[in-house]
Amino acid sequence: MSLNWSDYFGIAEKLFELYPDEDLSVISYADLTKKVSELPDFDDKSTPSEAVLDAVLSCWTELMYGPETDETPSTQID
Amino acid sequence: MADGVTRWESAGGNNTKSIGGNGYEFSYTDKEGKTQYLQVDYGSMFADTEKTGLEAYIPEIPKSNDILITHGHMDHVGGIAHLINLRRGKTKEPLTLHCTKYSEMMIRNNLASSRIPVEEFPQFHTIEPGKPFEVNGFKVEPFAVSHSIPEASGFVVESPDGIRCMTMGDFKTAPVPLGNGWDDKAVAEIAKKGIDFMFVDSTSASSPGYSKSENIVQGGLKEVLKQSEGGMIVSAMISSSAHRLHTIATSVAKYAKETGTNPRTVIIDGTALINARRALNKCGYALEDMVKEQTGVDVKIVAAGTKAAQQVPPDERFYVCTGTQGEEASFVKVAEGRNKNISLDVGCPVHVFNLQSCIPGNEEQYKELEEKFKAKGCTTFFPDRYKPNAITVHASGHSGAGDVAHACKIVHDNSPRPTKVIPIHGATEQRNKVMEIAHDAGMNTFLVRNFSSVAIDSEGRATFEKPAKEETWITVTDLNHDFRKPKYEYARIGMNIDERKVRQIGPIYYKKPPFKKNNMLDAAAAKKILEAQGRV
Ligand SMILES: [Zn+2]
Repeated sequence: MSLNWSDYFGIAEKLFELYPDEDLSVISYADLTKKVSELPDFDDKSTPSEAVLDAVLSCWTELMYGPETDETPSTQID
Repeated sequence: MADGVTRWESAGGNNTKSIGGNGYEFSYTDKEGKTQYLQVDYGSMFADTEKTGLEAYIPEIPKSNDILITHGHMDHVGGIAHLINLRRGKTKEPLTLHCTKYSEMMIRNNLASSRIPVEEFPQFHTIEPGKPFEVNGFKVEPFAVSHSIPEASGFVVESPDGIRCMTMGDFKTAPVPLGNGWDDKAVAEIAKKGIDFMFVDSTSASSPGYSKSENIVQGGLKEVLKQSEGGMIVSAMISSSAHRLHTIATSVAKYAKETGTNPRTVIIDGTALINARRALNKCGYALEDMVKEQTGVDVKIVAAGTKAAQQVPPDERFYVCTGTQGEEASFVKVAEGRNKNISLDVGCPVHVFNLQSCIPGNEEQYKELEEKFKAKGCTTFFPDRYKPNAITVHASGHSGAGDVAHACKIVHDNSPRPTKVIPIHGATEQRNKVMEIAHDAGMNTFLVRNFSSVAIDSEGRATFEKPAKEETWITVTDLNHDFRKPKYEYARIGMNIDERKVRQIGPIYYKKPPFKKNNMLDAAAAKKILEAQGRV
């Protein structure tokens, strides 16, 4: 099963396995695009939008640090 | 004048007891009876998943395809991912969000974590303070306000009849370190064009005086650094309120300069903080460069779990975590020894500082969190919400009574039309306080309950409609309980305004997003992820 840009969560899973200690707070789009294009099962020649790159990064971050509980009660009051 | 009717409806957020779920609807009906709508914010209301089994409540589906976004806190934007689900297959009209870049980044992070297909992401129209635009027949003038999250906005919405309504979003008037903040002159200039109605954030209106500036926290943080000499610092902050990250880095730099010591490295941990840092960079807030320019000191900010973080000697680390209230996030994982990035067993004293006081309702969990750190031998500082604290480590993002009076005075002094004040957000007590303040400023005030509306004729005369007895909310449930592949279910409920009794109205069916086979992980891969996150 090949991966393409629209499967941003699938891409994030592969990246998480391959690069478990990447600094996701500062990674560049160029570095991310290169890492994705080098994934063995990635097969998509199209140019990704910033939205899809950011979505990959959001999911990769979530996989690395874990899902978090909504902080709404804090932001609503403070 | 076009002789129509301009309406404003509180579609959520003016709740009696619960908090959040902010949404407000402007509409204009012309004399032929044609109505145009414009929504402001579409937030989620916290549902306490453990008790209710629900992920959140969200307001009724907006009639408008355009939403003005005041800022990126989830109680103002947390419904958007669900709105996209609920609109799927039902309309071909694009959804457009009018917001600042930082708000866009917060929303996009949330859409990705809700697994919304990128092809279905809304269109974003980037707004700038002082640059008006037109949408659905309304003229909209954004202006900057100060809040705990960067790039918060207020709007003046002008209907085709020339009725001008100022909606503030969450605000305070003190300056903020990142981006634009409240500007007396800009607000006065807008007010000079006339304001008929002003919708004012009441959340902290019962607090006397002005809400503090973020700058005041620098003094408190320098004390934190002084008390922690020779030890490791572990702290927690509200991640989306990212001005604080700048404040921490600046305090580290200034303390190092003043004491002639090495600046600590700021190490951030937790999904929301890593996402916030990336959003800051994308919006042009390069914190390390800003701090260097302001102080001449190089302060490094790195992500926890990276090689760069591991190389920092423990007594030079200033960890900043997510999860101030002990909710499932980075901080509690450290306290319970299940955070793979932060160990408390480092061979030097560990000093724990919660940069946020306890939110009412969380008392037990908050106390337990502090006890867990103490049991591990750490010194702790968890500030008290109601008593003076030895050090100030937090400044609220919401206006106190002084800010409300200040904003009312500017508008009252400059608007050539009489301005009526309607409080929004907060509980009834706080909304009453805003009314008192506005009344003292010589302005007429009205209390509009949730799900009620005010109709304004072309002369600015107001009548109150729809005195609601019941609120309607949409409940959000995640049937999968698996963050990797959420499976949302929606239903409509009625909530009696006075007794808060809930009435089930019925499920809302929606078309599921396209299935991505690659999303399914085998059991071994899933276990690896859970282990890495400290969840098993
Ligand atoms: Zn807010």
